[in-house]
Amino acid sequence: MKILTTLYDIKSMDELASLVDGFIIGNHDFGARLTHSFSIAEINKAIQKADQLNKDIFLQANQMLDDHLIESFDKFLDDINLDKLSGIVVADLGAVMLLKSKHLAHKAIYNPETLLTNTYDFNFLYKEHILGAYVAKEITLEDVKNIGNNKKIKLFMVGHGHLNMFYSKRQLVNNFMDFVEEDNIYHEKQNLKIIEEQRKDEPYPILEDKAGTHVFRSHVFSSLNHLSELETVVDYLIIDTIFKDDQYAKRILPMYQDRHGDQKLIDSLKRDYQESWDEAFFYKKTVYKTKES
Amino acid sequence: MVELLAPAGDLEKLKIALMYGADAVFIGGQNFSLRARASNFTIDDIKEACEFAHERGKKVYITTNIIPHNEDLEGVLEYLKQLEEAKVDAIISASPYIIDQALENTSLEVHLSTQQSAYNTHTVNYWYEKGVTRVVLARELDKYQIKDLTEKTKADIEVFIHGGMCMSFSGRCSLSDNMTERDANRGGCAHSCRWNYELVSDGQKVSESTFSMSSKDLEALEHIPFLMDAGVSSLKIEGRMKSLHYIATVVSTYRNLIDTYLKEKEIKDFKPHYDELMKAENRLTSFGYLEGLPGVEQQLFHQRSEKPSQLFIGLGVSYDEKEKIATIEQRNYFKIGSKIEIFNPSGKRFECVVEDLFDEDDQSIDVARHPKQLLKLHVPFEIEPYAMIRKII
Repeated sequence: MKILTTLYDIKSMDELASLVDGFIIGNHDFGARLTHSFSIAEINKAIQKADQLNKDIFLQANQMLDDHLIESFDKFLDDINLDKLSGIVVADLGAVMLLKSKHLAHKAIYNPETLLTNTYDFNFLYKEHILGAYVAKEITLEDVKNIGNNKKIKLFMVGHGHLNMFYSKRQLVNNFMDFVEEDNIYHEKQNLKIIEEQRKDEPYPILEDKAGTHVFRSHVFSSLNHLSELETVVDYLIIDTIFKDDQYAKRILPMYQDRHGDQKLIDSLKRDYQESWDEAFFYKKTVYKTKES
Repeated sequence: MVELLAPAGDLEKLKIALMYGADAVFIGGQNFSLRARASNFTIDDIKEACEFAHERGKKVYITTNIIPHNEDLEGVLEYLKQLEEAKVDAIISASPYIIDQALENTSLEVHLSTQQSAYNTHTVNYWYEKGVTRVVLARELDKYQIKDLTEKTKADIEVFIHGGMCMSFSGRCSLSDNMTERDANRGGCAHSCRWNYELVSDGQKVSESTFSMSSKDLEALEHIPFLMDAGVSSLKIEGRMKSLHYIATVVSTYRNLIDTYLKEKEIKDFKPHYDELMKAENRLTSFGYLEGLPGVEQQLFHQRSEKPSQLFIGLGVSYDEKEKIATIEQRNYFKIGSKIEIFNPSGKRFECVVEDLFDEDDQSIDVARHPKQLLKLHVPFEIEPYAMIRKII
């Protein structure tokens, strides 16, 4: 199992290199929910740097893409040093098909967030010769292991971070600021939360970026307690540092690298970043239907 | 010719939808379907639905649109075979497993559910090349994108024209899963996006106003001619849990609009169609993404649903032509002296005042206050079975 981290600053790559197997970067024209948006020049610089460090590097282009954006993405890719790029994470099936048409299927990683919840569906793009796919975040540890034991492509999963649970194309923060007749100073700012009136102790981070609006779980998901089980089924475990920076990555990654949680360090991280951790759906099966019958 | 596709939560609603002008209906079976709270159909119900529809030259599509977990896969093929035997016209699915099972092992026509968020030509063509004949597009496309995409594919294109709007890309939301443990992609959506929130920045309230992610419902009356000209194959009304009256009113309104446009090549005035629609529509509506990215005017902040201007008070059962006595089934309070509108499935409609009222035992009564009670009254025009009777306020 390789450990990847999203990146806030290219300058951190040297220091992080000893802690990870690779990096994930993106540009906000095509990526969503990025820790940081990098320009084409910066992306190419990061790819070169990763190559020098002998590390993997993946491009995150996980927006839903209409035909116009597909066309722009096609041109964008022409400016990227694809030879040295390990893979391209996309959320839209149309983007997979674009990569296939550019003979890049072998670098495609499909991450439709919620959709790959069973073994068959996880493998369904195997025939398109894609590199891998992300399992859905809403399934149990047993389901992850089951899918992993029957995978035909590389299995990616987010192993640590704020998992997103809502993606709208609408600019919902902007609409709200219009409603209250104030300027929207919150676009692409990572300091916003929404609090539901019945769940006051569960503030949900919300982010409005170019892709739209995203709402995240209130607790940070951590798989630290299950790394030995994940080791044999997961190919790439992602540490997503959205809402954080590389300092957070530097503190969390040694534990993932060692496959062992350090309670003192965990407590200090929770305290310093004012966050709580949980295991999301690993042991919490979602309810199939609600009708009593 | 463009298809008008309507929802049906049960057999009665299915018949109403088809009688009031839908070309096809989509319904959920008891397995593998979203909208768990709708009265989902048994296989026998589905057979009856297909017979009823096919006798009238119309179609029935079955939603098998859950995103299944491993444990849900058992029984899929057996269920699909039962649907095939029931002679359904298509299934609407999102899971590659269900789609492949249907395409490889049955003769069922497969439509791609909007839960897959088909949002570009590449995606639509991928599914078409797999054997999916129709694709329900993502709601996030504007009408020009819909037109452009329709021109670039051989797949039949289905577009939402009326009803509730997911705020998220369909199928990509797990608010409900996380906040209530109810799986949105397996029929349990709690509509958490419509709840009230407080927006805070660095712990401080951004505004005293309540933050909401709730959208007005979609209403595309004025866009129907454009979508028809664009070559869209099917115009879809959403709402399997809506009432009989809502289904009848919304379906017949769009039916009339489509027929008028086909006949006259233009719609001179949308207002009568809009006024008719509003007799049943009890939520605020707008045009969704059809004219581009929705702004503040498309969202619901604090607004309460509007009440319909006329109340649905009864359903036509039979009519004694000789005695001019109609039998109706009561659905809402009314009384002698109430002004009513009768709205027949054939399209004939008229207004009158309730002058007398009798119960099942032919006893004269002044007020109809018992739901589903059979009542008789003199009316000067025919009330057809399944006629909608509205109180005019």
